[in-house]
Amino acid sequence: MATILLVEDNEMNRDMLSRRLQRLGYEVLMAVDGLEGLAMARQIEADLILMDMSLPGMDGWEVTRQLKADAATRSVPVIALTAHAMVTDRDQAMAAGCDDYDTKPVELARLLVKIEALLSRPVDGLGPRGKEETK
Amino acid sequence: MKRFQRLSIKGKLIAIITLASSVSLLVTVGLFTLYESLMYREAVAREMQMIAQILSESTSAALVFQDARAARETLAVLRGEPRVVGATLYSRNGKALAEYRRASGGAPSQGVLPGPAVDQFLMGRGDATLNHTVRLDGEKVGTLYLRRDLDDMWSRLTQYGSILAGMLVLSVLAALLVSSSVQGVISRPILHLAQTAERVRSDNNYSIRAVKETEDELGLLVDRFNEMMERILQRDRELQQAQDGLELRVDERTLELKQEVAERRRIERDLIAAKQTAEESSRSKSAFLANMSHELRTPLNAIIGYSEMLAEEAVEKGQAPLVADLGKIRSSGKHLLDLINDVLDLSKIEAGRVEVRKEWVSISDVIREAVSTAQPLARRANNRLVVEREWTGEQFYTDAVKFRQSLLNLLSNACKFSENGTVTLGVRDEVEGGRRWLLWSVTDTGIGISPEGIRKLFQSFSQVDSSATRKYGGTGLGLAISKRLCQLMGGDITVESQPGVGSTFTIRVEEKEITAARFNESLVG
Repeated sequence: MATILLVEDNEMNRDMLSRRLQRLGYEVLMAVDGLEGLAMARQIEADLILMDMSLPGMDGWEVTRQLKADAATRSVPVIALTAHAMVTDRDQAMAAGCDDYDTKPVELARLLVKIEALLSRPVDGLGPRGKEETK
Repeated sequence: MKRFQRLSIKGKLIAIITLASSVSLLVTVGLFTLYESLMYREAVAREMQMIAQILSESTSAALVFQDARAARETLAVLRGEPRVVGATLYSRNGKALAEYRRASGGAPSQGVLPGPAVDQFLMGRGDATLNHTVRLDGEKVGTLYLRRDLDDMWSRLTQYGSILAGMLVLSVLAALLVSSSVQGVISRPILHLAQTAERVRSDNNYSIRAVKETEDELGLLVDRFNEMMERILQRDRELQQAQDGLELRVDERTLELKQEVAERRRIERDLIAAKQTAEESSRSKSAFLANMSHELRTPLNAIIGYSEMLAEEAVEKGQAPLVADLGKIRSSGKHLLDLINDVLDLSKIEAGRVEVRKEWVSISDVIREAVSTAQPLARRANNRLVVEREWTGEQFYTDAVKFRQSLLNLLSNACKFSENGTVTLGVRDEVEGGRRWLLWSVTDTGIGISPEGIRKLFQSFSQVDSSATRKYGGTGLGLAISKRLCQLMGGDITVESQPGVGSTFTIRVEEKEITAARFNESLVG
């Protein structure tokens, strides 16, 4: 089963989302802030990263930018989780290099569709993963 | 005369006095001379008459006898009369019988001779002549002609003249002396007045007074002059007082104005401060709302998430009765979240923190997306969703995110407020005000809105009937937000409705003309 790295500072959100994903069979690893998330993303080989954007210290935007700038982690798909996607959040997430985005509170069914879509995408190693596909 | 007028008062007085005394002297001398000459003439006439009388008595016999010699001898007595120049004795028939001439330069006898027997005395400039009728016993026997020079008279007159001239010179000198010492009586006060007036002028000092010396008209003049000065001084004082008063008033008014200006400045400062405070409080209100929304959302996310998770577990564990209650927790949480999100949106819009980012958007994509999102909502209340696309354009220029949000809001409203009806999405264009507008209309066959309701429709938190919120869900902020978003994009949302029949909401956005820039864009893209 796929390994998902969940970067989320809120304990309850982290607990809830991880438990729901684990129940569905995913292996979920958790980081509580940006720096930890960045370190873990480089250390383990996650299949997908769920990234909360408003993190204390280094925020989700910055972590994503660094991951996407690093050849080793560039191909790992990132789904941005924003508190509230009103106007510019979606654009901002895409600009930071996220492969997809979703709003919190997480609607699990909707999120699962996006997770599965990214996981089933062929890894061809050509260029930044998913940029063209999401268009 | 001009020279006279140019003279000073002093000079004029001297001249007048001198002239007057000279004229009076001349008149006196003239009259005296005239009298003298008249008296002389009389004396000459008497003298000549007397001589003639004597001669005629002594020559009458010789005339009767035509004795020329005797006549001549008789006439020769005239040698004793040095002034007699000559004499001629004419007989009755007019012939000259005898003649006498003065030895020294006597003039020849004149031919005034002997006229009709009339005695005649004539006095000319240089001589005097007399025709005297010689009678004997009352009968005319001839005529005696006598001629005499007036040298004695002229020498006397010449004497008189030089005496006169001397007197004139003396008297003019005397007049000059007298007048120059006396004129001061009149000229001094005038000069003093003139000098005083000049001092007043040069010092500009109206308190200077002329000194009165006499009690005549000049004294009066000095008095009047002083009075005049007094009046000027008084008027000056009054003027000064008026000016002082005016200055005082100006000062007072200036002070008042300064105070007024200061007051205005203070008010202005207060206003600016109040404005800043208001802006600050508006900003902090927005910031507060944004923060609060975030803070509220975090626990809500947990509530919603855990209730969903519990519902899933309840299903798995066969505890179905719990699922409904968990669903209520979840949906209430969702509604609260929607409210919070809408409040955040609205506060962002009203704080001016929303940017419009326009791009070329495919109309077909927008329609497809809207339909796919609205379809489940429409089905929920058994509504039919219909698209009427009259406009065949491919793209329009808008902020895609905001436009979608607005359009979806209208569609979800329409689906919510209609049951077993039709929701129609229409797209058409219209030219107005020289610009082409794209009209996206959403028509429902729902409950409709009263005119009063339409007025309140776009206000925040104003579902027409607050019971509607409970019945139909929603926050009551969606329309207000959508309208604000469309206005930000340069468009608007309008509504037409009939209660019981349905409503039509229309989004108007500008459809930009295709420009060269866009052609390039589409070529590159």
